[in-house]
Amino acid sequence: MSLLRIVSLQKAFGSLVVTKNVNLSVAAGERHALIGPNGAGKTSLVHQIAGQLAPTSGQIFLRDVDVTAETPEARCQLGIGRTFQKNNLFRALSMRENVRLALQAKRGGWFQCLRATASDRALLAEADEVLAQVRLVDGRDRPVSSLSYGEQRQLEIALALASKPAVLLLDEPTSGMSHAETDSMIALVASLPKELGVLMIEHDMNVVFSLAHTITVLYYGEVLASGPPAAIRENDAVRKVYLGMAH
Amino acid sequence: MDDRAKRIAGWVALIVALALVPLTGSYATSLASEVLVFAIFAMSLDLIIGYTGLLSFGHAAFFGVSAYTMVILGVHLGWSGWIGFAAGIAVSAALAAAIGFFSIRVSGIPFLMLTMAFAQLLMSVSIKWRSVTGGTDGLSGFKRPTLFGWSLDDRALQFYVIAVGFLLVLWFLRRLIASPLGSIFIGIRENEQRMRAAGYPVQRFKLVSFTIAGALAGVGGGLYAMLNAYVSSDILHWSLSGDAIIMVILGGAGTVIGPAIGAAMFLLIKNVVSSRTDYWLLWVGVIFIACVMFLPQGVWGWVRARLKARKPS
Repeated sequence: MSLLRIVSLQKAFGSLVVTKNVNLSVAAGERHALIGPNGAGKTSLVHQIAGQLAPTSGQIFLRDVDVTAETPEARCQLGIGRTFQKNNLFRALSMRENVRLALQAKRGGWFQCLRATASDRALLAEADEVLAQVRLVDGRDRPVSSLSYGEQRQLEIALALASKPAVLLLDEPTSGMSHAETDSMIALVASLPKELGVLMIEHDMNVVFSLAHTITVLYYGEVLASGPPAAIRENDAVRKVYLGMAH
Repeated sequence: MDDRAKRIAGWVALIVALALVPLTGSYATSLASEVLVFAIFAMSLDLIIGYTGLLSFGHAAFFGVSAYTMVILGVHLGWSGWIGFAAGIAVSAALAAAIGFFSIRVSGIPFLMLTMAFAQLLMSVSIKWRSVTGGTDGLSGFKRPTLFGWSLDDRALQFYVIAVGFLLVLWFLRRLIASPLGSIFIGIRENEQRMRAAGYPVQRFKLVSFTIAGALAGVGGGLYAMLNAYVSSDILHWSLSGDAIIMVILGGAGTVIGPAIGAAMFLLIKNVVSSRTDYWLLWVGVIFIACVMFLPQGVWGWVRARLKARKPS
């Protein structure tokens, strides 16, 4: 059974169609890469799956439940987690507080207004575990604004993992990273829980081919090809519009 | 000293300082009472502006409605000021929930305009509904309540009641800001989109913040009525909402005690300078501009940053 299923998804801004009849599914444990040239509509697709953008038509199912009309917060609670292409964090807050806040969203106890968050040792310990999972170990009390760019990318993933998603959408996890940082990001994504379904936008073919079980190629909002990496590598249409062009 | 000892020392110093105020004479005591009332008002506004990141320009509505409720119930129905006080806070909270319900649907300038429009609407009501509110003349004849047999007409007792209110609001806000609920408000201020992506129903929490702030402004309004035993439509005017914003920014938005310091600065400038020149607002303006230019985090924000920089962590 597929965890995430997208059926005939369509999104148009006036006459500009950014998502054109897209069908796609992600199974539990699958690593699904979404590739395509700039402007192919990859991020728009992720926005629609996570709820930041409403599709014009079509449906999105999570475990066969139609979530197309749900808000981003409801989708997160149902199990769709995401990262952002541009670091989108709580900049004035510490690394640990960022994750603690995301964990608290899932745990509840939202209306406690007299108990200090600092006294909730269990939740803070859990935050540290999530940070360790993305290999952020040092200086957890530092504010995000003082972190390196690469650390902020890691924290992006920590925030998404903290909401304990069933499906994780990664929007260019390695964008702007050095080679060394990219390699450690590949290792990080490879170490994610096996049962998680991952849909990942990525430009770096090295990352894509070392992680993905399935690759979907978007071109002007449309699915040009979808299949296992070997098949995509051999696909003439894909080579023509994408692989041959940039690399 | 560890943090806990420091905190306790801070509270003790504050309480002792407040306890000594009535020794300074009746003029200073009245001024201090006024400062504390507006400190509560400004601190409550800062929950919306500094902690939740919404610029409200209609906060006088909650302050004013609470004061009106108390005075109206006292003058027309003869209700005790204490019951009126509780009723005023309840009415302010309910009103904040209603105004917030509509206003949080937008943000930024439209939010500011909507909150201001609602407050102005209430001011028109207070002017037009003469039989109840006394119109532009205001409503006088309010009898201050008694506390264990002593009348609150006594300046010192008034001050102590107001000081207790101030300390409770200060204590509550400090607790709130450090709590899970407070962390949600701060998260919304920092990054609303991420809060939603993390699974928080952001709109609901904006409304909660707005309502709590309204209720706390109601505490300030009620104490204002106890202090003055009189209420007029001036306390619903948009300029009072503006004064509160200036207090918040002067003292430091996003700090709990900062707005109280801002309120003290504002009222001291007003009292000291206005006794010498009619153009006291000019000086408030000059100091405000200087503060925004050179101390953008406000006076307390600046002090706090210095303290943090000194503390090795």
